Amino acid sequence: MNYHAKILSAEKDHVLLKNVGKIDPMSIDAYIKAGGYEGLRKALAMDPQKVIEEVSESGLRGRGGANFPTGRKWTFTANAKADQKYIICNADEGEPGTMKDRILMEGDPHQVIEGIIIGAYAVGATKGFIYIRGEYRKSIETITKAIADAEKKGFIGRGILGSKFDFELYVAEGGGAYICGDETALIESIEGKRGEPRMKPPFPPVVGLYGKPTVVNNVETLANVPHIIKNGSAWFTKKGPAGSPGTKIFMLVGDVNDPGVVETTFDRTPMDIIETYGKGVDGAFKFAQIGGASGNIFTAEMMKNPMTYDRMAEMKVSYGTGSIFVANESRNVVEFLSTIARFFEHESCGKCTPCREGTHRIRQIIEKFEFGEGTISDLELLEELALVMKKAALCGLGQACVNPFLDALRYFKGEILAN
Amino acid sequence: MASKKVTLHIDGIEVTVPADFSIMQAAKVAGIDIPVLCWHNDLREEGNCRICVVEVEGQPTYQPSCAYKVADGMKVKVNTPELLKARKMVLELILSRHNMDCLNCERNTHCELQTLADKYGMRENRFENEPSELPIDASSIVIRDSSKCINCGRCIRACNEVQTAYALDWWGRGYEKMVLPTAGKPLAETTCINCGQCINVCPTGALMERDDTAMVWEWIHDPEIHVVVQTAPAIRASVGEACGLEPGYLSTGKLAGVLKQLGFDKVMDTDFTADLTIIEEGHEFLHRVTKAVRDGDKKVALPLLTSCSPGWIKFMETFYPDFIPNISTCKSPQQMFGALAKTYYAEKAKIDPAKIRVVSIMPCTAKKFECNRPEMCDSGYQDVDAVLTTRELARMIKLHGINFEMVKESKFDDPMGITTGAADIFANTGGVMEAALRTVYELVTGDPIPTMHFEPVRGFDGIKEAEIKIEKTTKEYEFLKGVTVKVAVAHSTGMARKLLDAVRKGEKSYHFIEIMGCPGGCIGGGGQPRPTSWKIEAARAEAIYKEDDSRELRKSHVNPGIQQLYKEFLGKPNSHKAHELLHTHYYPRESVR
Amino acid sequence: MSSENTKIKEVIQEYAPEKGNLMAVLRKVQQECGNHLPPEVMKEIAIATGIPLNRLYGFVSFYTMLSPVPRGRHIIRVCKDGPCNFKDGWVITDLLEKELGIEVGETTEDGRFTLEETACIGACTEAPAIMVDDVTYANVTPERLGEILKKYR
Repeated sequence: MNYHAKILSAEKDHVLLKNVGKIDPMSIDAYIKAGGYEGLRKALAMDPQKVIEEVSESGLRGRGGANFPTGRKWTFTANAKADQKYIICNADEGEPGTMKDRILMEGDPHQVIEGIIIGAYAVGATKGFIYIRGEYRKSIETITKAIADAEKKGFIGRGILGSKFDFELYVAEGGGAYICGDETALIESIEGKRGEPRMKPPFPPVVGLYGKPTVVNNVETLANVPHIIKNGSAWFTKKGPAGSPGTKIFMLVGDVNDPGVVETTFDRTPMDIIETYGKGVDGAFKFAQIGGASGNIFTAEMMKNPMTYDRMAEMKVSYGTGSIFVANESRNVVEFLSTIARFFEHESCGKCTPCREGTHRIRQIIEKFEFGEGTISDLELLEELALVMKKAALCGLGQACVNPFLDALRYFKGEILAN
Repeated sequence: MASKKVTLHIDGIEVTVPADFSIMQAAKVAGIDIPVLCWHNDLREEGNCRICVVEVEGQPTYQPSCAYKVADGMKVKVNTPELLKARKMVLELILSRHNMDCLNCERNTHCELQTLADKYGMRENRFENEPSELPIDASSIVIRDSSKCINCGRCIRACNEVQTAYALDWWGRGYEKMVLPTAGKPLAETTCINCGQCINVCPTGALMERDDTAMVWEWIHDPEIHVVVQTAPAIRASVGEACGLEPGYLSTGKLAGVLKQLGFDKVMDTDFTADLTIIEEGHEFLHRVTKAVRDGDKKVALPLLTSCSPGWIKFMETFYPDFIPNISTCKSPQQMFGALAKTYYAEKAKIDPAKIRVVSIMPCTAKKFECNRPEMCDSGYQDVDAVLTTRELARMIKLHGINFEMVKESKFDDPMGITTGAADIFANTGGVMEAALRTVYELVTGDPIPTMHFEPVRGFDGIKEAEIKIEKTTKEYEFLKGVTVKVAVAHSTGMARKLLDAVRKGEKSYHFIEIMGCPGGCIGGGGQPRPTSWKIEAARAEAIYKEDDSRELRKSHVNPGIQQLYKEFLGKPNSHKAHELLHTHYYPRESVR
Repeated sequence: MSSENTKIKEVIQEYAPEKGNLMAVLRKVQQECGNHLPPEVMKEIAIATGIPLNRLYGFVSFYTMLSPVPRGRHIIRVCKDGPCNFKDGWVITDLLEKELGIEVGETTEDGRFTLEETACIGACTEAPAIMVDDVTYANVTPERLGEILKKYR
């Protein structure tokens, strides 16, 4: 099975990737044989409130980039009173350098589905959607089959495994819009509308899909859930350093000798991961962008810090989706930024002024530097614009897309001006 | 409704406001005006322009004050250096995509964007000016200039959420996103009903009505042409506002005066034919009710629906053509006037109708479409030659440098200038219904209607209902004894849709329905002064009711001019001649295009 | 054309807002119409689903995978984002442009191929990557490109 990605970490360290490449993803029996759907059985025998407590105590935080504590998100939705609640699995993985969700869906679809069902049970959602980006045809195919198989075995449907819990799960497709990774834009897309984010508040757990309480979780986050329920929150908490429990799938891309996918714990440093699994940097290290196109730029010094939440917070950065994009000495910072600028100009939904206009103007300014015509006032304008976008844009795209530019201004201003 | 109050601080000023207030509303109470562009009083807030952003203590990013609700103990900052910088940047970005040729724009000096640019001291733009290069869409009454569009989306909300005409929407994504009619076609080829609500909410000159003043000036200055002007009921309560006076400024006498000053040859009143409409439609209604109740005719088309709102008529033809049999065949007062001006009036004044031009002053943009409907030429000529909106009239007054407040009061000319209060209230939602009831009630019961303030049909509720139990009747209408007449009133085509869906499904049934295409009725029309809001419209509506209250004659059937018209010219209501000149027909239009 | 019409009608009937499947329905209809949604079909969808036509166009014009204008029989998507760029993805794009005689965003004269830019498609560790219709090709070298194109000629 070709996953268009090499898994570099050792099998013994794997939790989420344990079945990938080892079992037939199209076979539900293979998943069950490997211990699958035990978590669901256990969850259904618990009170939904207890399920949430277990996840809260585990310390699991969102793996989509925002790192929000999952248990707390579930609590909001569980507490909301409505005649219908939804759970949505955000599989619109669009962050450049990221493929963990694709691999999880293509390689072990039932792990994700099990997580969704448990989450639905915990918050009281009788309907769920997994929103898969339109370009991930293989994922859509695999998950669709997996849902059908799960239905046949009674893991999805009415009175699941003899309980009183009913649950329907649908696959919704994306149409080629990175912005639909934003939870409210995703909701709009499922509703058959343009993928333009909504203002928050109100938040989805209060007003979500079709106005009903909705919890939106990332694929990798939900893939952790069956294991937490099956093995208990303490098992999860003990993995990795205190305060940043569990495993994370990281991706090594760019100037790495052996690019690939790594599942490991948060006490690792990015440089350590590159050297242990990626056979080191290809060339001399210049900088890395961690977390996707809106990720922070890491200097060599920063690369030596563990990616715990505390350390990241101290450095005022985030590991985002876990993509580690390495650039060696041959890479030109202006060219690097120009790719990012073009990406956001193309992906901005266009709803709010700062992002719609700002992403275009940022691309124009960087282009000036590409042609060697940039000036100091251009950079001052870029910085001013970026700072406004960071605070005034309507959604995470507009607010975060300026990070690489602001970081580059901090570390590479001279190089940019000299271009 | 929350009567609970909260206390918060805005820029250090303490205010106590209802708990469901937005920060923007609370700031107003604190005496601070927060700028807006995409927010509009009468529309759902979208928070996309970001010019109203404020700092809320505890929030990492700025919040849109138009939508963010207050909370007890909240601390808000509106005017920090960073926030002011952010607002200026937002404006700079918007202006960098904007057509900067203000001097040649119809909204010069009264444009929301200009006002903000002035407020924020914009002196230079560091971004290259890149306005849209789409050609101006002048295919329809509503003219679109994309180079002036700031992507606020107000027009889209008005068209889709308030009016549900589904003619405008976003196209594309990101920097190239723009407002376009359906499928990118010229507006005239879509389901646009010409209601002009999009124009009313547009903050810039991106949306304007077609300006017909040049044509009208030509006629006025042509000694050969006899220009007759008629004025809609709504104008007397809005022309003052359009000239800079306060909303609700009532100026019937000054209106007649200024029209004479501008050079119109004959200044008469659409109110006259509004009274006429009541007589014609009242009898049409009773005719149908008689067939249904007395004769048990099951095929009679009830409810009867009013037909004086051309935006509503096009909406009906497009989305509810199954109701065509139910629509009153009466023309609108504007069109009745035109047909009579070139026949009845022309005869009386001994003027060649070929030399008459009928101009109407309307709060409405759809009337421009109505007067050009091919069937509106029963006089043998185009019955109404041109329609000018309240805004266009104001432009004419401005051009002549006339100080409206100083205009000497005058009277409307005969024979089509004698009017009643029942005609005045046509301007308000519920007014046509109330005027009709004043006449129909008396025809059926023999007694005048007990109140001149029929409250159930007054006010701004989207759909209003009323029931009138008939106890006493004349001999002719004995069969109506004990019958409860059910009426309904809806304003804005969005509410019309809601009401008609219910009628279609059989959930609701009525005898008589008044529908006005615009929110608030004609006083909220697409040609009315800008800016507008429910508060302003309420002021206009009140002025109209005040005018009615001040009148000696308040029932259409006691109008001596109308009585004379029937005696001399038409014969009796719904006569053959009346049908020829004063009634029309409708045709279905494609609903998906 | 008539057999496609019944297929289109069937697909449109699958639309159910409670299943959130407007995108899937439009995509399937699009495949029956040569990779785009012509005006008559858009109208048909609007009438059958009750979605106003203007909203439908607003939806279609937002998403890059849907197209209201004609496109080729096969859509080639090239990635221009960071990781693919580092692995000389632009070389592949250049070669494709030269080979097909069109620029990114255009369709070949014989209507066979449309060349489009895509955002990252999640094959970054095996960059550069391209998509042709529903299939992702990774580790695309100039040498492999010829083989890939041959499949669709």
